[in-house]
Amino acid sequence: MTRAQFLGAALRQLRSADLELAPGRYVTLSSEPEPLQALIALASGQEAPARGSVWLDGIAPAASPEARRRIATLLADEALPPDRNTERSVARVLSARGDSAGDAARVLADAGLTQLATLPTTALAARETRSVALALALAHERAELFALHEPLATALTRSRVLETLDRHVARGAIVLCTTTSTADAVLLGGQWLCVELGRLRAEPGERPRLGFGPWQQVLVEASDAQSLALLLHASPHGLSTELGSEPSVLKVTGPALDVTVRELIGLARQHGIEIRRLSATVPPVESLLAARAGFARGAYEAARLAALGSVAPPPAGPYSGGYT
Amino acid sequence: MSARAGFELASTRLRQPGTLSAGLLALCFTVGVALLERAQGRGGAADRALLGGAFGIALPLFCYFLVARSCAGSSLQSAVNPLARHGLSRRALVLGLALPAALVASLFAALSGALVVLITRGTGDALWLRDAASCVWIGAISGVAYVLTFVGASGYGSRGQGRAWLLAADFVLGAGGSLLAVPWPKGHVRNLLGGTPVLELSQLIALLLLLGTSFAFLGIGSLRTRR
Repeated sequence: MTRAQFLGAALRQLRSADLELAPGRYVTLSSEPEPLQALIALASGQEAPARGSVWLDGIAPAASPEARRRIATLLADEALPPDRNTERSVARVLSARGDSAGDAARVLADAGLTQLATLPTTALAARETRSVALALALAHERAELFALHEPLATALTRSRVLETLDRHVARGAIVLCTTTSTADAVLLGGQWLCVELGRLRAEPGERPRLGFGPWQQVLVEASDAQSLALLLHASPHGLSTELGSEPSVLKVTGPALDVTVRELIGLARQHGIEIRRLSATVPPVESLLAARAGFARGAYEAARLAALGSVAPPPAGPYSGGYT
Repeated sequence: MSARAGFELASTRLRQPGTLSAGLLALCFTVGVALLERAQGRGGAADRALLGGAFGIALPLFCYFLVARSCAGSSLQSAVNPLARHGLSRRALVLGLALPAALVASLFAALSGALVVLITRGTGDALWLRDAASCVWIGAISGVAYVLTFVGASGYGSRGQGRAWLLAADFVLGAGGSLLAVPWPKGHVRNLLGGTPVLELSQLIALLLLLGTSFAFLGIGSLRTRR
C-alpha cells in the first residue's frame, strides 16, 4: 500500500508539515495560498524541502525521477514544455512519464479541451495552461499520488474532476488536494487538514472537529428546561448544565459543539420538548485561562511522575501539592 | 531519453523569435568593429578586432543570451522542471539542455572569427586563410566553453543569477593575466588568439584549462541540480 510521508517538511511559508497519508482523499485548507503551493511543490518533488523530508514509499520524490513518474501534479503556476502547439506539448509530457505520446489528442478530448490542441503553448492563458495540466494529471492511470492545487478552479467541469478523483481513490491512490475555498473543500470531500500559522499536522486518531474542547458551551432556550437538564445529565456524553439568566434557559457544556447539539436535539425531539433558541456561547476568558493552567499542571505532573519513576510520593504536609 | 528530451526542450526555446535577431545583431557588431579596426590601420587590426569586439564582447554576451534563453530566464533546476517533474532525470536533462546552445555558439564564433580575419586582412593577404582556419577552431571551442560555463553557473541563484555573476567576473577578472583570471574563459581565449597569456601559460595549457574549467562549471552546476 502506498504511503506518503512528510516529516517536519518546510519550504518557504510552509513552516512544517507532519503527515502520513495512506490511500484516500485529503483536502488541505488554508486562508493563505503560499503554504499550500509549497506543500504541492514538496509532494510533487518539484522542490526539495528546506528542512525535514518528504517520502513516497521511502523514496524522496525530489531526488528520484522514478518516484516523480508515479506522481500526478497540478501546480499553482503551471508551465507546459514549450512546443509548436499544445497537443505536441502534451505528447512530450506523456512520453516523459512513459505513456504513449499518441494519446495526446485523446487526453485533451476527454477533458473537453480539444479547442486548445492547435494553439501554441505560449498563447495559452494561465487558466488554460492549468486546465491542460489537470487533464494530464487526471489521465495518469499509474499515478499513486495526486498532488493538486485548486483542482476545481480550472476549465474542466467539476463533476468530471470529482468523478475521476473518485476513480483514482477507488484504485488505491492518494489524492491530496489543496484549496483556500471552503466551498471547494466541501465538494472535494475526504479528510480535511488545516494549515495554521504555516504548520500542517494530521492528528492521530479521531479527526479534530470544529468547536472541540472542554470549554465549549451551548445556550438553549426550551419549553421545559428542567426536564431537558435531567435528560442531558443522563446522556452518555458527559454533558453538564447550569441555569441561564431565565428559568427557560440552560447552558450546556459538552466535549464538542456538534456532539452537544446533536444530543440536545435528539433528546428534545424524543421527549417532545420545544427548543426555542439554540446558540453557541463564546467561552469566557477565565475558562480559557483555567484550561491552559490545567494543561500546564497536567504536563508538570506527568513530567514529575516520569522523573520520579517508582519513588514513593512525599508525605502529606502543609505544603505538599502546593506547586503551581 | 532524458538528455534527448533536454536537447529538444532547449532547441524549442532557441527557435523562439529573437534568437536569430540576436545572432545577427552580434554578428553586425563584430563586423562593424572589424571594419573600424581596419580603418584605423591594417597592422594588428585582426588581433584588436578578435580580442576586443568578436571574442571579447560579442561572444560572451551572445553565449549569455543563448543560455538564458535555453533556461527560459530561470535557474537550471526550474529550466528542466517542466519535464523533470514528470519523471525525467534533471542531470541528464541539463546535459541535453546545454547542447543546442553550445552548437549555435560554436557556429557563431567560428563564423565571426573567419569574417573578422577576412575583413581585416582581406583576400590579398597570403596568410588570411591559415589565420581564418585558426580562428574557426578557436571560435568553435570558445563558443562551447562559454556556453558550458554559463550553463553550470545557472545552477546558482533562484533565477539563475549565477550566469550574470559569471559574466561580470569574466569581464572584470578575466581581463587580467594573474591567478584571478584562471577560472574564467576570457583569459584563455585571449591566449589562444595570441594575446597576453594568463600566468604565462602555454597555448596548450590554456586550451586544456579552458575546456577543463568549462566542463568543471557544467559538472558543478549539474551536481547542484537534484536528480
